[in-house]
Amino acid sequence: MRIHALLLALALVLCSCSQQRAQVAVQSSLTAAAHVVAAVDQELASRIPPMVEEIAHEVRRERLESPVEMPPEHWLSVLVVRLEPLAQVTRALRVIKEALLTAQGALTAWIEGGELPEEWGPFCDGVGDAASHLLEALDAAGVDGIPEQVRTVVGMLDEACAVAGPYFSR
Amino acid sequence: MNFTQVLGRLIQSLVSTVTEAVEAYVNGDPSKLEKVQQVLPPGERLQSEEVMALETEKAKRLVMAQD
Repeated sequence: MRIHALLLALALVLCSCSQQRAQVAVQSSLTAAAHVVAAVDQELASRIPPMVEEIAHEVRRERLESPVEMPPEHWLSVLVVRLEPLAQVTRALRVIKEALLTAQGALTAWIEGGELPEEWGPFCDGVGDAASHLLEALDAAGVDGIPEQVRTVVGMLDEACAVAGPYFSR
Repeated sequence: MNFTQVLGRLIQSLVSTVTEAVEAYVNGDPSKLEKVQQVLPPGERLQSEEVMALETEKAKRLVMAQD
């Protein structure tokens, strides 16, 4: 009887240790991913101004050289359409930033409450799609260099999901 | 002058500095905003989506500007 109790206690300690290790690993992956995402965001923030300016000058030149006088709304809508790919990049990045915040919240709840909350599932299911949208948007907007960093983030988040997987019940 | 008044004056000064920087940026002079960005901690700097919103406004003005 005493041996059974000891074995049970040992099993609980081992289980708790492996869970703590998993939490530390997930935390580390999420933090690393958040750093890369923040770097991507600041990189984009510095690259957007010259790209937008170039498009604005292009539309302005078209307006000035147009043989037919068009209302201002026409040129503004031309501008908005041409800026849309870049705007999509920033929106797609926001989706990933929000997903990361959700994941951080879920991890905190897991560490504090012992169970991984249900929002962890949608995070792991959706992060791949969110990254694909961002990669497509970057491609459509002609932004180079950043896709490699996005793939790094995907790898980190896949790892976090794989480590936490055994502790998550749907 | 007490502490609250000093704090109030400081906040007012910061708000007007930032407002001036954003107005200058939208009017085509990004130098003041860059100065504000530099003093902010990395996590507080304007994010890409916010820069995009400012740049779009600036671009609209540029497209419609007269010769």
